[in-house]
Amino acid sequence: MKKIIIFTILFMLFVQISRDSFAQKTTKTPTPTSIDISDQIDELKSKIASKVAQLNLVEKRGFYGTVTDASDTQITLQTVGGDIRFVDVDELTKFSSDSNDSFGISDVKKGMSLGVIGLFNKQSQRLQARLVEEEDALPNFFYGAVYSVDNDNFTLTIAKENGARNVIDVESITKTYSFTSDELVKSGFSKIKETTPVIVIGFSQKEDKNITLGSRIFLFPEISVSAKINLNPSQEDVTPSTGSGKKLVPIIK
Amino acid sequence: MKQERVFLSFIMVLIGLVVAGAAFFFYQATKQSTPTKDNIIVNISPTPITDSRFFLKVFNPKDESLADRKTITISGITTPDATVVILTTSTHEIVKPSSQGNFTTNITIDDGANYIKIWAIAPNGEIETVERIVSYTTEDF
Repeated sequence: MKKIIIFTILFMLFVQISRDSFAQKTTKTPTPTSIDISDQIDELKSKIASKVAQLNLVEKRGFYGTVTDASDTQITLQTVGGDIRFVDVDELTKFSSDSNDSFGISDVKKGMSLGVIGLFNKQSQRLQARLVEEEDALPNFFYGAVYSVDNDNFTLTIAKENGARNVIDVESITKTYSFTSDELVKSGFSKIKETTPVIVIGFSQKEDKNITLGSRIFLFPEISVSAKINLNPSQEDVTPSTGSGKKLVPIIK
Repeated sequence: MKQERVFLSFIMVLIGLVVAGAAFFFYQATKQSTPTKDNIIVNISPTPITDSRFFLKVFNPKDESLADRKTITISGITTPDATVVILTTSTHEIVKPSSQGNFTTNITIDDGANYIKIWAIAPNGEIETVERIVSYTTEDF
């Protein structure tokens, strides 16, 4: 009988041990307490995120662009990059212009360059203007390579990456610089050589928009000409020959 | 005596079953499912392309930001052999980036809206440009 009792005890012990070991291997399910804490943390996170979003909804910004549309309460601007910006004007908006002391919303016309400072609403993507200032139109910024230099007329032709060519009129106000040996030094018209990469800042002339009055010229003689710039003579530049040795010169009106 | 033997036999069978069951569960728990050839899921991760192309990133200033000081810092990163040209309508600055390609310089801005054009020119003449509008104001609103 003793043997039976011993075996029974051993059997019970064995069953208990095996149950415990399997119980340990089972996946732990979160206790109700840990679920509550986790939910509370999530809720708190959500509340904080919402508050932060509210606080960051409005920020101070400054726009610059060309007026594409204007009304008594709204100005539409086109930025330099071509994006459209909507500006709301109210009684707190101040207007300023160097050329007009009484500059106001009624003076804002299509094509005008404006700088606007105000509060930008990220949600509505609109700027509540606080200061509207008339600005000068931006100059042209060119990058290209010197295609030709006209020493008689003090002009140079720039070949650009898009294939276009612009004539730069070099006047006494034009400042020329050269970037050599990691240093920017003053240069002059006589030092401008063909095929030199160049950056030009200037204003298009009203009479001929293809001619730009150079304001600043930056030469980069140590940099190669971009493969995108075509410096080969274009069809228009080649003066056709009559075959008799007499060159045909195009009539310029 | 005969009764004892029967009972013992029954207990032994039970123990045997439990041991066999435990061994089976242990085997199931530790067994790693090896995917069959048909079920192999091939995760095609995009091969990281080493971007050796010419680039320009400007960290500061942010576009359409406001400045309450006339001197602002221009910083960014490009390829180390590039030449960085910073132009505004009134000033200019040309800098060479560090060996890591980082560059930082200060420029002076005018009242109102300032257009800043940043160029990175590679030795082969390739360019990258970034434009920024920074407005100077001391007004509080």
